[in-house]
Amino acid sequence: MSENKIIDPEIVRLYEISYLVSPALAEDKAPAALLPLKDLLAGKNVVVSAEESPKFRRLAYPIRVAAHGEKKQVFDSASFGWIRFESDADTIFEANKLLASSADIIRFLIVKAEKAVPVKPFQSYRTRPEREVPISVSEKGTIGEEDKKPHVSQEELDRKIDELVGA
Amino acid sequence: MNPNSSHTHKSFDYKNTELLKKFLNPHGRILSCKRTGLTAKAQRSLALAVKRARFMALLPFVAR
Repeated sequence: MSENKIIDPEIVRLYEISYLVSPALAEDKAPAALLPLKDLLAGKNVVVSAEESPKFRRLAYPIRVAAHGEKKQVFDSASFGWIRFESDADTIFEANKLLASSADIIRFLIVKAEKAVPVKPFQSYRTRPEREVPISVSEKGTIGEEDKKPHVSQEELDRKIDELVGA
Repeated sequence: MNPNSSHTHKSFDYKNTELLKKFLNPHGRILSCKRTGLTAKAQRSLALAVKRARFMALLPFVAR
């Protein structure tokens, strides 16, 4: 079973690329490894929405990378950074090829990022505006008929109670 | 993990390793939803985030 999904290259999505820069480049020089990608994005008029510059860290396990025609190198530390931008599928395809051919980037991951949903701030029930009391509708369909009932004063009510108790 | 915390985690970020580590056992395996108390949707999000973090060597596949 093979499905040929037709992907519209014009669809713009939010992508995130995280990458590990080789420890051969110092932490302050690590952003230079991403310059070809940034040039590509600038050429396509892609605006970077968020970014974190590479920071040196120890890896959870050693990564073995074979450079072109060379012996496998083992890295147990690298600089980790990420970049987030909105682009179409073609740009991502080119970025993928660019990063794969880069010697300084030992590993990278392209994911479709979720747009940040604004968090609804917590509001205490004390500060919430009071809800409006719904207008009562009687069976006859007249609105607010209960309010039209004759007003009974306290004296009349006491007298009526006395009559009932006395009887 | 407190089951009552389920509503506080709607989705997980693979870069937030400190949070993800709370949902792993000492061997680096993902805890079951029975232990995490997460909803099915949040548990799937957790599993995806942990697998992405493992690929990027931010979390171990196996820890001893």
